[in-house]
Amino acid sequence: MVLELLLTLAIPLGLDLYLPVPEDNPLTADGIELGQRLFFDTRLSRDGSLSCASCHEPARGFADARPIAVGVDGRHGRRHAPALINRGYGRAFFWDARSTSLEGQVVKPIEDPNELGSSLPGAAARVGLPPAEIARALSSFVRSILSGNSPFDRFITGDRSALTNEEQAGLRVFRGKGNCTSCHIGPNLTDERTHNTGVAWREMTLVDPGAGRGDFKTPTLREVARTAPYMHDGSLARLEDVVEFYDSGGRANPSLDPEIRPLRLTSDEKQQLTAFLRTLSGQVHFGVTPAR
Amino acid sequence: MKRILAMVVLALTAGAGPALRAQPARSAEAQLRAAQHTEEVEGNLKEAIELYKAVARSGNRALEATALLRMAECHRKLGDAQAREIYEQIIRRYADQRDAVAIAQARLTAANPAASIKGDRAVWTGPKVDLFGRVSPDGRLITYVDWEVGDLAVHDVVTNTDRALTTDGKATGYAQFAEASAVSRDGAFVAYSWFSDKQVRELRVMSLHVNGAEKPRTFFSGSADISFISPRDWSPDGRWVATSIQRKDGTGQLAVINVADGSLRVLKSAGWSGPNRMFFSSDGRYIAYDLPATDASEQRDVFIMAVDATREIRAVDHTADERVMGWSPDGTRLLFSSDRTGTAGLWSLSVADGKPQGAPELLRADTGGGESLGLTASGTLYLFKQITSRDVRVAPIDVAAGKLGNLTSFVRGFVPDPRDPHWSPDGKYVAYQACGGPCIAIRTVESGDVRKVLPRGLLYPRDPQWSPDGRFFIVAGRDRNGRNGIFKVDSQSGETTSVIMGPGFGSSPQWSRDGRKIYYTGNGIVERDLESGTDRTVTDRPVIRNISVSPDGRSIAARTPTDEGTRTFALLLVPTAGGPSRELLHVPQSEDWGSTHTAEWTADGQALLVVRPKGSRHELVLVPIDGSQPRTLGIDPTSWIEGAVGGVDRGFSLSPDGRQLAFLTGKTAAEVWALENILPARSSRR
Repeated sequence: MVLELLLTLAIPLGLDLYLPVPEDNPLTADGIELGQRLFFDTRLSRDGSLSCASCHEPARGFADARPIAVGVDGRHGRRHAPALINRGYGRAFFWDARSTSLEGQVVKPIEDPNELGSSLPGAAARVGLPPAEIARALSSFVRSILSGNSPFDRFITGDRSALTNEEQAGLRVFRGKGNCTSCHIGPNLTDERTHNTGVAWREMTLVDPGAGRGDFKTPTLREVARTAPYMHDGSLARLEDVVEFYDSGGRANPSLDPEIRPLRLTSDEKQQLTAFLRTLSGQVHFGVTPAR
Repeated sequence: MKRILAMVVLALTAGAGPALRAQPARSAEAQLRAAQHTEEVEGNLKEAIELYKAVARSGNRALEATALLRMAECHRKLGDAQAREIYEQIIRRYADQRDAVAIAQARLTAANPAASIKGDRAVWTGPKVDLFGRVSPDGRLITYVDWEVGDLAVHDVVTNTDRALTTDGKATGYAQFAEASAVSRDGAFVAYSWFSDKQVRELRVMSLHVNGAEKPRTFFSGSADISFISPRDWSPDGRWVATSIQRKDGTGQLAVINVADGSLRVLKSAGWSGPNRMFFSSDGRYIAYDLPATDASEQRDVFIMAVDATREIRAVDHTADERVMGWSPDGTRLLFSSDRTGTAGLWSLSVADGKPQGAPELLRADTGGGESLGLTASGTLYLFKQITSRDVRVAPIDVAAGKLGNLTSFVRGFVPDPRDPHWSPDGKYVAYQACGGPCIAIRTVESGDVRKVLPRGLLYPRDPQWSPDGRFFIVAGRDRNGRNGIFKVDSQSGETTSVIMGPGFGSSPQWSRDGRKIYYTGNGIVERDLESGTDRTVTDRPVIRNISVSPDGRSIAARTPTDEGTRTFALLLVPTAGGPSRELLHVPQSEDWGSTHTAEWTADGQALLVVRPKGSRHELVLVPIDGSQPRTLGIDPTSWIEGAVGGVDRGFSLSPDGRQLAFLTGKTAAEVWALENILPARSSRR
């Protein structure tokens, strides 16, 4: 029975078995391997100095340790390089959600003058592949980056020992007083929508419009403990800072999301919430290699 | 139904204008009233039809349409098929009489047995009918939950008898209970969800052909993270059960669970409302289901998922609301309901290798919607339908004299599924939850007009309470992420903001008189300062269900259990400023008002109105707060309670000046219909 094929899929605990894939870009081992090579290939950059992995480090949940991504010639981009965890389940891409497909998203950094600074035809010529194949292969590789089987996943599937009492208390804060599930919901802990939390506002001045009036896409919280710094501008260095930011009600501005307001968490609750967020780190799979 | 039509008479008559109302006794209006008297009081339907015919030729289109509606109703009662023709005539010829047309359409699509097509028949009616079961392949048995005791049971549509399959619900006093079930393709087994003594939800399986003697086998034990689980369909080989799961964070999931070893495979996660129905294809390779078309949509589309999770296709993509009904027995057609023509009909889509082939075909128009309980092996579709005529009414009341006056004649814009009526502070409007959950209806009492407010991002805005300035409602509800809480809804725009996340539907939020605080039930009664966000416990005494703030804002009326052993309750008066509470009334469970209604303050704040059971009926009782004896008023509120669906609702509301009462009346009934001969001959058999 075809159902048995489910057993062969390397989807970690906690994630949906169905991983949306376009009909014209089926997920194959060859495609993933090619995409992996391209992901680490510096020839995609104009001067051969950078690859996708330069700002999306596997050890950091495919995010960047620097607040703002640095491209060719040391040029600074506008935003923090987001984690690429579980993006195969995504419906909106980039911090401002301007792309609706991975295939459309993955080639944009190649052409961005503040990132890889190349042209797509130029990069294609250097690696000897048509642009469309680069897009398909990179998308396939990004789809293979999966994180699951975290202590949180084991806890909600019945292993009551997977979380400590403090972490369980943090989960209650996460779902209750902390109001985190207003946006961080589902297996991937994101609603894939944009919200205004005020990060893009400084002294009532909008410094980055994002998707509108300072709206940015909810990032996944998978592997959040290893993807610091945080927010679209990398302005918060630690998880504790993020918790403090939301506890204070975000940053006031005329378009602040109504779900962002002072939480009045106690210091214990903040500590519990931070402890819980650390339980969202699990096993990161990528490429066609076994789990690491 | 009769009530709605009576209201239509009044409304359309009122709409005919002052000149008509001034006409002499033998006017068309008088003829109409005479006909109505013949129908309703004398019960002479045939004579009434003749009288209505005269009115239908009067030249007054409003009265003609009304008379035709009444005629159709008489024909329906007589059991003949002319009702359908007359409803169609109204729709065809009286397009300018929008209320009449809307009702005629409703009759044709939902509540009119005369609208049935040959082969359609109600196979089960009565209070035990529910929508959580499935039909057996031979069409004889329908599983259901006996909600009186919490046990799984089965109804035999041939003998019209019921049989319990489990007994632990009753044996444990409802500490354990069944919730949903699915019958295996060979008709031998039933899989069902069970809330167990471990306080978790399990899936169990047992033979469908036992009398409660067989011990069921638990094949899946859910974690505490699962708040609801519903087996939807068995795979044809009997190895898997397609299941919908709701997680504590509000995520809805589509999964398959192995009946032998309980292994769970989550195929897809979705929003809170999740898949409504799920059906395996006849080859077991695909599952069809419906989901909201988008995150922000109430409308559903139909999808097909490969069971190996390699592919999902939006099989039916349309702006209409579409719900999966099942597969044809030969597996070549996917059946779904759609309201794309304006009324709900049954459609089919050819499917090969899990992919749609061509455009959908209309199989049956005007089925009235409903939820599928599955198809039999011969291709008969079993549909659960809920039929309601429940609506909000207003009548003048003299509380001191204990008299209720004639019903106010407003009826335009019937909005189904009303509950929890509440007067606006200026006494001009009555707001109530409606539309089966997602809307708040606001009826202008003077004109009868109804406006619907759709709270953005909110489902089930329960018990809408006007703010003192009339600009907002405070409601208990559930957001689109499936989170319960208390929300503030703009009464004009529907803009919604959450106030407190966590409290459930029974939290009964109430405004303080200055509109700066709200009171709600949690551990006792809690006051939330809306500006500072701080909470204060008003009383820690356990409070069950609705509370009411007094007109002067100094007291809260609440219902509290006083003795768990004897199940005695008290009407409690709680000072909002704090301090000792006072018990006004002690009642045993048999006289408890709280299971149906709240206590309502009189306008002067000197007494409370409560509904108390009295034998098979109910009585309205005035309870003075000065401690003097409660007094039974000469008002029978039984009809306010009969037909209520979905547990407690506020039931009635006294206007701010105390001179008018808004309340709910009407019946709600559930039925299972069998739709035969719906498929082309080539699709009806494997």
